[in-house]
Amino acid sequence: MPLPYSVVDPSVLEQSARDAAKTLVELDRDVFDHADTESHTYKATPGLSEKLVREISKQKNEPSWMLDIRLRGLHAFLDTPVPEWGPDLSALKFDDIIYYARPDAKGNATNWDDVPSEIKKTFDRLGIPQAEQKYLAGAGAQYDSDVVYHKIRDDLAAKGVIFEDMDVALHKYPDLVKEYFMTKCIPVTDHKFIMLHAAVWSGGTFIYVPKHVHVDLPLQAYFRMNAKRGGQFEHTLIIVEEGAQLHYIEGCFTKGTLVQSNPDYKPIEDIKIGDKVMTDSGEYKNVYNTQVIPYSGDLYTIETYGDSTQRMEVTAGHPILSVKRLKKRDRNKQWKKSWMIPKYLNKLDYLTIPINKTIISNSTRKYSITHGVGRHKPKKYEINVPLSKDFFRLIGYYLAEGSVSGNEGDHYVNFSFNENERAYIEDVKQLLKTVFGYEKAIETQTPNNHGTNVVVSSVDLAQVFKEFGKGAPNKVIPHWAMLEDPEKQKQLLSSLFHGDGNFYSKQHKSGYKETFRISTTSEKLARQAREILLRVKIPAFLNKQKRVSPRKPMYTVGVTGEYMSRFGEMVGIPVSNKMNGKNRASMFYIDDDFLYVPIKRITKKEVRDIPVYDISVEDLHTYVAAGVTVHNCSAPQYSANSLHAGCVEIFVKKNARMRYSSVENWSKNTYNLNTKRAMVDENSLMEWVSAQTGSGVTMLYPCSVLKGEGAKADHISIAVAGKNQFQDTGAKVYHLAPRTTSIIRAKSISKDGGVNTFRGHVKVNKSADECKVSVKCDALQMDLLSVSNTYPFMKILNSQTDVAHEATVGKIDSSQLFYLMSRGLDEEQAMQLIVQGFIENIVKELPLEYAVELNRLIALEMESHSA
Amino acid sequence: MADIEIRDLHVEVGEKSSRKEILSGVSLDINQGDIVALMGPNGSGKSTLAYVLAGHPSYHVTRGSVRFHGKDLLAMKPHERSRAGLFLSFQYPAEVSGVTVSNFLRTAMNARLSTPVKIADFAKLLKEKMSLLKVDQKLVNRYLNEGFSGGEKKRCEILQLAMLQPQFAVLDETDSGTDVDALKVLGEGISTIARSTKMGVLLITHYNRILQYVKPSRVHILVNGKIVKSGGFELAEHIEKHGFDSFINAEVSA
Repeated sequence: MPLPYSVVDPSVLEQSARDAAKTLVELDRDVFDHADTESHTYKATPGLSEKLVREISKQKNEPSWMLDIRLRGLHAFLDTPVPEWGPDLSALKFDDIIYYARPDAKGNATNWDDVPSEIKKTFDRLGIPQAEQKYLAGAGAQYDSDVVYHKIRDDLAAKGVIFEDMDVALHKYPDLVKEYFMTKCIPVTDHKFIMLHAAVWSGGTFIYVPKHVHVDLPLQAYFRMNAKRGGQFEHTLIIVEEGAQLHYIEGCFTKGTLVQSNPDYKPIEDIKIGDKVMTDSGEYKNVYNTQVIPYSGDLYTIETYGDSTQRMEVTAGHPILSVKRLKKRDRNKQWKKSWMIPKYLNKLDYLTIPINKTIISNSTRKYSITHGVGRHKPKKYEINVPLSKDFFRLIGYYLAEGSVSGNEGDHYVNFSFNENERAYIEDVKQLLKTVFGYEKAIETQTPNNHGTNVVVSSVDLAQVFKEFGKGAPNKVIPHWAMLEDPEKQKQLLSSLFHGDGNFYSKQHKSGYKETFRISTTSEKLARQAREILLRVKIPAFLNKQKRVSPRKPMYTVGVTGEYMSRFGEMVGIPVSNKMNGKNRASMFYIDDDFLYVPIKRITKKEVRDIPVYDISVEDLHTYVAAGVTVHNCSAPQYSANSLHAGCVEIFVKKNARMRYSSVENWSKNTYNLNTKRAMVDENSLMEWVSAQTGSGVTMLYPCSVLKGEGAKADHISIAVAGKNQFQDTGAKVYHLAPRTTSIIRAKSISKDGGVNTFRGHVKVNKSADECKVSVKCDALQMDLLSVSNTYPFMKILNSQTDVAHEATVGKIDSSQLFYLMSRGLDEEQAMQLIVQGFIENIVKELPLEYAVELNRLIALEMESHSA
Repeated sequence: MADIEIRDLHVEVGEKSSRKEILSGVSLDINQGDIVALMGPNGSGKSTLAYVLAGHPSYHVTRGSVRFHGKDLLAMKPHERSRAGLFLSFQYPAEVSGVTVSNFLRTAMNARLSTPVKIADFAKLLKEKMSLLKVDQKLVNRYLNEGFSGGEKKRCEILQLAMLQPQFAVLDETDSGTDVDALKVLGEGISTIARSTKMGVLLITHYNRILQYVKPSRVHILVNGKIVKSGGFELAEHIEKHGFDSFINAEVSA
């Protein structure tokens, strides 16, 4: 049975990452200083030599046995010819490659201008902010990213899980590393590129999961790799002890820096979970508009103080930018943000709501007016309305007290006040003059409710005010006004308050209780008022009161505690900082970027196969969105160097389970010659999930050695080959013990002349009785230029083996294409949908965030197909 | 001018060297709100006409024209015809693995909208149409037409029709493969949709089973690529009793 993906730990060891980084920096500095005084000239130069290999080992202060490994690797490499059975590697010039770049040394960064435009374009298409793009391309300073997962790290450490940078692990756990490093799984002399790897490896990850420990969220490389970029010869060593479980995801960096680096790019949507805010306001864009992915696992529901109208639902692996509460009774004094998964969030911890800081201020706005109905031909013209503070004050009055009416079309604007509200009546009349030059406003009385109406008979004004909603429940602040200068918006808030608000002050047993409130039946207006208040640094709560039908629910935006003085100042009602002899206090906190709101309730439930992402789960009225910030996982990893020769060694001990997932998208100039292998013991399970896009040439065949009775391997993969790309991928399984099982499922997509080659290599030993082998590979060719090759290689030496093999090569089916087009999809959309369907059963094996990413990535690849 | 105007349509199929004429001068008018039946024996060219209207690339129009609201329909690509409001319910719809019916429906709706349909709105509409056509939730969660029975395929086609709300629908043998109960539900569903949206319908059928539920105001008989007889509903009743023989003979002798 496959591991449900949510059962594993995305998480992080910030402290350990930091320790690791620190140690590394210290180590390096040591070396640097040394180097500086001694030679002063060490620079990474292209080419490979014994001198370089010794230098690397020396700089890393490695034990002599590691230097021996490196030298053995080097000499074997120099004596071994380049393999010729696979894709053409003749263009690979070993002498041009920089094999070792000193970490953190100045001058390693790529010049942003040198990054190919194709890569930049893809970054843009994936919606990655430029600062992040530069980082991904190795051209920017690293973030001081607050990717903090203290809690997870502590949890893991308490269970004895080791999650370290490979270089650090070598020093901290020399015995463990020595036992497993390129010894029992992938020997130094395995093949040409492993020899090279052994000689120059640097960086990577070391994971040790002790007996019977289940790491229950995917452990992702980026959680700790944020300190430095993984190198091109990184070494991953994973040991999963007896009865333990792990899901590891490779290849991501700096999760979560986006929010801080770009306040307009908001994972807030999924934090606030933006059912209505996200979709209705138009304020925030939902980047993942078309993705629906089934999800099984824990679903968390989080409610916060300050907004009783919404709750958010998030999947177990979904990181949320939050602040840990330090003292139960007191509001935090420090606001250190970190990414948390819901499991580690408690009641009263703070969630963050980013403040929209975009300001687009204009001095006038054009309104198109249509004048005249009935027998006359309508006149059409434009008027310019000054976007002054006065106009905004008038908007506020309209939102609170205004209406637009007329028998045929809109002729009248009406502001209804209480007859005592003389000052506001006069203010409105004055504003009509200053803003519109309109002097003919008349007052009418409605004696039965002591009302006074200011009536404006003007088609122009009626059509202007119509933009702010007709009828109380439909009142709305248009998008442009939401982005206007906060100083103007203050005027709007002020008059909105004078019209629809009150200052609630009442003696309670415990003393006075005071609140500024704005009440409206327009839910949207209430949310917008709250949002604008954030722009002027006033946190407000939002409440919904149900009322007896047919009365509509009432929404109240309220300001309490320490923020009252700020609000009071705005609306002209002075409020002292103290109440009942004490400073006014608030449970909320606001700074330049965020509002911090405490969690009121957090609950979880288990769900099966529910569609999540941008689909609303009906009856809950919420959206479940996944991590916006993980997109850098699938972003192309650009390196000026053209060779990636990583090595992954995995040991899955008796009764253990391991899943290794990767989405690799190296830039097209790269030769990705990666080696991954797992030793699988008795009754244990190894699962490989891989997706290959990018790279000029890929050679990757994850391998499982089933050496214990009853061991099982499950390989699933997707490869996409486009123009000038050779994806030579596959799977290798060795059945060394009886009753072992292997399942290989591969999908490949070739387009624009791209070449996919699948190699399924399965060997069953003579002594391995009753094994099961199943290989299924499906290839999809998008056009006649593209190539799909399948080379199954099975060596079955035991006659009791149950073998199933199936390979299909399909072309885009013209009847499918026509069918989809007849429903309105253009050719490109139709192809995308067919491809999406083709890989669906593999995509759904990936964790939610990755599935979404992969779909987008492939959609992007398909786009360039028709371009 | 009729909303759909087919004039002297000649259509061939096959490779260049061995092309065969299937339609030999068909002329037909359909207006918004009309229900028109096209009946004929097997191989008379009914489905060819349906495919040509939808823009299937394998059919070659050698003569004649089709105007849709005055525009040259034949110059439009299949997706443009769809977006312009034309819908073809296929006799044999293609299967698309890995794409659920609901995902497909949403994609198809979004393809014709400038802003994507809101999920909640989509879900609501889908629920409404599913209940109209008595479609089971399980069906929309399955992959598009994959492993569907004949009846399920037709149900899925008409569900798409209901969701996409076209101005004109060409229904190619919607009654084949469906059992009596399903036919009733689908037929009544189509009628309801046609009435409420003023949709024009070209019903292509072999029998008059479906005509009990979707009653045409005009009936045309197509034999060997030509319309040999046109009339009212009574024509369909005539065929029910006597079959197409008399028309085939008439064609031969003509």
